Amino acid sequence: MRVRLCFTKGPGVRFISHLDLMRTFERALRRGALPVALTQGYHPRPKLTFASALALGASSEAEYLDVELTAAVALMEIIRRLNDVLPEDLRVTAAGQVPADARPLMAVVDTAAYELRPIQPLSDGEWETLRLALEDLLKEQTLIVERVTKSGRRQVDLKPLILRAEVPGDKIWMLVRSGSRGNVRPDELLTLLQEEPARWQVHRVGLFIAQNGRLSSPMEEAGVVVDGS
Amino acid sequence: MRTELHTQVLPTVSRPARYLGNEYNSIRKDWAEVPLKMALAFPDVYDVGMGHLGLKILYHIINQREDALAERVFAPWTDMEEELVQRGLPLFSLESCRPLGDFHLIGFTLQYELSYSNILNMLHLAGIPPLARDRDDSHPIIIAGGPCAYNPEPLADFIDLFAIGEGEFLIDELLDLALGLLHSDRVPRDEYLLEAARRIRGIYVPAFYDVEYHADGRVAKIRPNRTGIPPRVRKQVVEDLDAAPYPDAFVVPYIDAIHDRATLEVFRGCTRGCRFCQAGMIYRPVRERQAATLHRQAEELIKNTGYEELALSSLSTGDYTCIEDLAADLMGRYRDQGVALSLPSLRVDSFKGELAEEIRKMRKTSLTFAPEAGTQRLRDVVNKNITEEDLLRGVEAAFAAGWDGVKLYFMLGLPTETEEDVVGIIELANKVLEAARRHRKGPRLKLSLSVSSFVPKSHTPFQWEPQAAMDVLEERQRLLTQGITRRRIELSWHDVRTSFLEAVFARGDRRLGRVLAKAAAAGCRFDGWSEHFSFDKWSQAFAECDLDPTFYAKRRRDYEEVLPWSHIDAGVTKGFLMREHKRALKGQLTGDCRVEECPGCGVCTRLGVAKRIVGD
Repeated sequence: MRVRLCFTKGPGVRFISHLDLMRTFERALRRGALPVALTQGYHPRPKLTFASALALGASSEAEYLDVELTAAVALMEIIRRLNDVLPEDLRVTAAGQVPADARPLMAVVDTAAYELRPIQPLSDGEWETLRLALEDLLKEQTLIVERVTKSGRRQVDLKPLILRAEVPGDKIWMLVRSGSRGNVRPDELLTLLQEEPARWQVHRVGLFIAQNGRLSSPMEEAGVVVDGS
Repeated sequence: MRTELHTQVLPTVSRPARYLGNEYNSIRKDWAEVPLKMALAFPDVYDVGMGHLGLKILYHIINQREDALAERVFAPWTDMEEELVQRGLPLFSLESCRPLGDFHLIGFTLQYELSYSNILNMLHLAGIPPLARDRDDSHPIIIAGGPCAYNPEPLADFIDLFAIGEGEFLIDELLDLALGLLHSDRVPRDEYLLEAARRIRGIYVPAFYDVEYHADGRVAKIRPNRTGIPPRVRKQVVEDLDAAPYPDAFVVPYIDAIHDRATLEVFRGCTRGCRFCQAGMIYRPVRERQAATLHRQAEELIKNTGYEELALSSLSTGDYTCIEDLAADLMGRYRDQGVALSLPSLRVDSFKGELAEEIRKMRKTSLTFAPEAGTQRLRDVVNKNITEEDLLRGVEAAFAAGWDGVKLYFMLGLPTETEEDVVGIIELANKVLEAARRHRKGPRLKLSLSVSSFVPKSHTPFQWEPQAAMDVLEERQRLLTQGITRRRIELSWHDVRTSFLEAVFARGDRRLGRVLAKAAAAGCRFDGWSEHFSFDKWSQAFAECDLDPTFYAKRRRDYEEVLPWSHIDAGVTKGFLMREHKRALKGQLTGDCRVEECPGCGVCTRLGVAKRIVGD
């Protein structure tokens, strides 16, 4: 049974890295006595796949992971058992059963929405300046940033990857490509806006699958979805 | 403070999850509801300290009580320290983000001499005067325990009270006494220290002892300066480990900490009698836990932590009476949940084919053997009762069972060592590689040699021995690097200057307090981390205090000398240590009281605690 879980990552756990989060879920599944399928080999590991890594320091409204179970467990029961044993500020909000042949989460999720809020409040004037800066930025033909990876420096044009960005009141809102079809990190947008990323708090509002001109939730692939929130 | 931490500080430091304090199974009590507060301090970074079992045991015991709480604090990594200093924030406890100065008691665990500078630094960062004599009733009582407390003297200026021995029951005595004296939210310092030293076994308050020195710097006399203070402080021991409290839930770190796993302590103590080994002397007698107890603890720990690894821990796990049954049962019980069993500290001769096969089925780490010395002669000197045949048989069994690599531990500079013994290490390593090749081929085959330098420790038969000179140790390291030519053998060694400093503090007296204070003020911390260790700063501190470090590390002491720790009683008699020292020099082996006759170390009779072997 392949189960898709939607969970929130609250402020208390936003400094936990993706690798640490994976380990946290592996251990929570064991504490919850859920019959998780293990990989073969000398060093068996629970079969878990996450949709997308969240940057260290960011919180999230909706993250996703798929887990393979060796026996059927009621979806509501899975949510209950996990929420009983997850650390504070990690909460499973929904569960659904997805077909065994569904494509891997990380292959289908390609869009992310973020809200960025400043740690110290900005004045109305500062917000106005920021709004204009963002408008100007989005008028550019290309937005080249440099990324440092293990294999060296690489230039990436973010322009086609930023789907929407605006300043609706006291936050920056952005909808961007995320995952297999390219990626925009919130700190890259902030840097382009001449903002210091460390002065902003990043909150992921959602992860989506772009299909036929609309955005759908990864939960839509599941037949039955139980809302546990 | 928590808000500032989360919004301003954590985004800028490395591995911020070290400082969250909200890990699963962490315990946050209502500060206002609990009368007595104790901080459990580990003088190294979170990633290292979270692996320490003693800390977990004390955290559990204290937080089980309704009238007390325990919170953790670790040495902040250097980037975090900078942030704290720049922002004027005090060092805080993880659970409730309280400044350390708000606690009534702070307990440091002493695992390693090179973490002493971190203790001073942590007190300094907390705004607590590091010198005990500068503190008053408004400050916490600073307590320290653990293996290094068996020579507490170098820390005598800074620590109010040392707890010598095992803490499971001692901690309750310390808390009860503090609760009894607690008045207006303060523990009256003088009264507390005096009462503790008088009434609780294992308590050593350095301020209640005067030390006199000979003109040449040797200790002449150590004696109490108050009435009712014991002239010798005898360690506290737990009689029955099955009845001792043990945590049923470990705090589960988010980050990848060392020994991040469910740990069972299968027994305490080791009677093999390796003559360099302090743990083998101070944790006597051997006391095994019943298999039923271990099964129950494993069940609770896996259920409550969800760990993927269960470790059977002790000083020599293969010596546990029913090790094969226990290992097989536990492996069978948890295999389907993806929980692997690991057996650290296996000795060569306890390693048998079937067990090897079982462990390999769920291997996690490479296998480790510790022959310690390269020749039979030197192994006899240190009483490492292993022959070359034992080792080769063990290694062959391991490779036959499917391992690709083993790790061998050796020590350089053991008493009586010559170049011949160093060459012996090379020859032994080559033979092990040959043995491995009979079973394994291929690119993954690897033999790791980890070579440390011998550090003479207090309360061991080698406590009178000098440490080899640094240039001799370096020469022998060179001999090894030149002699190890095979590509499959990987050699690693320790910085001899680190081992030298360790040797100074392991057998130093309380005059070293001044050096420690100077070095800490000069910025020494994380001395066990090569990237932070500054031998120059230490040398400078010794020079400024007009103390010669070689006096402590490189001097042969005679049996009549009053050793700086002679007022600390670890249970084994001086006569036994002398006898063992003499036998060592003659290359005579001494048997293990588990299976052979009692060698007369004195622990059982003097402490009134018998060895406990399951099935006896």
